[in-house]
Amino acid sequence: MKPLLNLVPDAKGAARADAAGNVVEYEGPIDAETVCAVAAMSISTLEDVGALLGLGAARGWGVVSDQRAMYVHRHANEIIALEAQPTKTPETVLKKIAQSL
Amino acid sequence: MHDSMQKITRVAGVLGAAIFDDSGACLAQDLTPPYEPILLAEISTQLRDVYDNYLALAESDSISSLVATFDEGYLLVRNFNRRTLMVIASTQTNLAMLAVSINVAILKLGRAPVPQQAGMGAQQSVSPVHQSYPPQPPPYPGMSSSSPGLHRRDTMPIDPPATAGGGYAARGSAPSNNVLHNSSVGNSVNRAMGSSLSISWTDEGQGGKRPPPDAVGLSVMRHVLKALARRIGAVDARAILDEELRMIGESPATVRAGQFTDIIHSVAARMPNAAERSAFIADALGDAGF
Repeated sequence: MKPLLNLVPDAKGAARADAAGNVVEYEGPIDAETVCAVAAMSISTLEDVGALLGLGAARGWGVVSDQRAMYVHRHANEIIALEAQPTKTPETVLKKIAQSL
Repeated sequence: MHDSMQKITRVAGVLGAAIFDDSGACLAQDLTPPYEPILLAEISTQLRDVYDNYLALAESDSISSLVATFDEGYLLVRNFNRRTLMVIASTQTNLAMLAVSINVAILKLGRAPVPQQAGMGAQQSVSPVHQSYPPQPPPYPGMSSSSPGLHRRDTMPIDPPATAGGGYAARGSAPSNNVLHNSSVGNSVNRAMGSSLSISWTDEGQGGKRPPPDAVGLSVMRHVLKALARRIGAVDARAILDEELRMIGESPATVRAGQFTDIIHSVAARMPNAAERSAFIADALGDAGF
């Protein structure tokens, strides 16, 4: 988790969880259980979106709000979630995370 | 506004861009088939579930952007000034360049006044289709063989079947494996693309033809389309249903109750996997009361 935090500017914390959102490990002052639960809950919707668009399975996503940015990367049967400060270019952060895993 | 969309779609690999107001109406778009505003409006509606999940962390928060990476492309969404900008891109896209392009467009759009509803129809770039909840499935655009969208379609995947051997086969071909799914459905799509007749899946597109009293209605047909799209993707689902409708000379709005189950079973008959057939039929008929 630590290398991941170093990778993303203003990263607050990161967590690794199984596909159901159960936390396996985490780093940093984040509510890892909630973050991973939220990430896991979004999977099915994004899978539907990918199917509707004909783009296939969801591999990762980032959601930026006024207060935080959250990035999720699906890796094997796990999800890696990372919480950071908001950014105007979440695309590049998501790409960095994907490339590092 | 349309210029802004075009600037975004000039980025290599971008498949389309559209902007919606907070009621779901398309304000401007530069989408190539098979993508249409109504499809993105549906996606936008579905994404609310994702937003709600994240807003559970802090109710006073508001979502400004979402980016999703899929096996075969990207979806980028920006919420600003009560508008939603959605961009679809292939995996060949330079994401950093696209992000900058989107942010520039938003800066420019942010300076422009919010269009009034009454004036929207006067703009060429404005879709006359008003998208609202409940979600509507994607229409399949009529495409000629020279349509530039055909080339873009080549960059898009035909979804693999959900289960091994569970692919769809075009009418008249013998389904047997996954490869056949790709070729057969692709042929089906191409046949539909090559047709000069475009079947409309909107209320506006019925050309004044009044549905018969026993018509099942657009919403029911859209439900079927959606059920099929969940299995094989929106584009192929639309192509297959359009083909079925052409065979019986009907449109989604004019399908009669007596024809409805025949269509469902005709579509299901293309599925080589019995379990898939049953699941689709159950799904398609589930809420229809037939």
